Amino acid sequence: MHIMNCKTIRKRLVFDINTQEEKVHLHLTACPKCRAFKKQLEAFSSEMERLADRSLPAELAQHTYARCMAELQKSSRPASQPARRHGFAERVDAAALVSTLAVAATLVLIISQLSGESSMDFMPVLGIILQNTIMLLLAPLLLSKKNRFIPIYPKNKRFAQGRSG
Amino acid sequence: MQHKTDEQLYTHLKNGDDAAFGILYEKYGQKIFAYLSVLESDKELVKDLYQEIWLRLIRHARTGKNIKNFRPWLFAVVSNLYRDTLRRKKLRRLFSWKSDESGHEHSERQQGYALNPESGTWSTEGFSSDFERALLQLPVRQKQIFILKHMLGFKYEEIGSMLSIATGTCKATYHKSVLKLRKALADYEGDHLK
Repeated sequence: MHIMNCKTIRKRLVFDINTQEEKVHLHLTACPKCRAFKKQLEAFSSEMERLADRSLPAELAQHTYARCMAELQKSSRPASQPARRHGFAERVDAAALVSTLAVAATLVLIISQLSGESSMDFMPVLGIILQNTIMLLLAPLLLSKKNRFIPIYPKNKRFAQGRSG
Repeated sequence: MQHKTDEQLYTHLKNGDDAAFGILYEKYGQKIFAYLSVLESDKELVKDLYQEIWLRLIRHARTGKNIKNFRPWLFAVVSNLYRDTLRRKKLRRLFSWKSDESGHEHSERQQGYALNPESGTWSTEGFSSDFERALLQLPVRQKQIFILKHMLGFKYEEIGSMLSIATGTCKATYHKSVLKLRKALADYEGDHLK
């Protein structure tokens, strides 16, 4: 008679193959299928031990070591000076600034031409233009890495761990 | 220097002592290679990843950041780098015209395994090669957890924090991996194993 059912025993064996639980031992002496299951798990473990001894090719070891040593000997950046990691943000800043200036210049040209020809009231139009110009000028600020309003660079712990360096 | 802990060696490396790197390299080089070569069958990719990991360690040391537990940190870097590389590869394959070269190779290998598992022979060699093939065919997460547990002896809690998953999820995934391996190696069940 089996004291514990096979499913429970196997689950226990999967998580701890060397379990010393008496119930498990009793079951194993009585159940050939679970004994076979345990034997298979032991075979998996011994295969993994064999794979763990897989040797590192000498050429790869030497080549990597030499490359790392060269990297170490390169003049390192002082620790206080942070790395330039936000190239994208800087490029966005520059592009937004250039486009802002281009739009502003175009608007100034259009206004100067229109104001000479017609007698319409330009104050509301000018207000809208100014508002847009201010927004455009603010865009680089909002997109910069120091902005606290839009989280452009989310900090994810897992990725930070894997992509360090 | 030899008797120092990994964390102390890392601190030496951080402070510009190249000899500390040599000791860490000696200690973990083979282990990292074994881990990668069991995870991935593409030898060139294994070589690239192996080099990248050591370069990352150097870059990390240069930033001056500390590491609390060196060994789990190192294997977390290896695991995450491998996963990211596979994701990138998958994306590249998705958007590439020449995508099917490696995919074809992989499916050929799988097909070969399914059609000719050499189940008639019970020698250790047959089991070993079939075991490796079955392991390679596991989903990445399952494969990583199985190897980290069996080959490198990490605990479930450690693996969980290394891969940023809950311990319970880690256990459940490990259980799934064992069941899948058993299914793939059903021919070798029981007393046929020496």
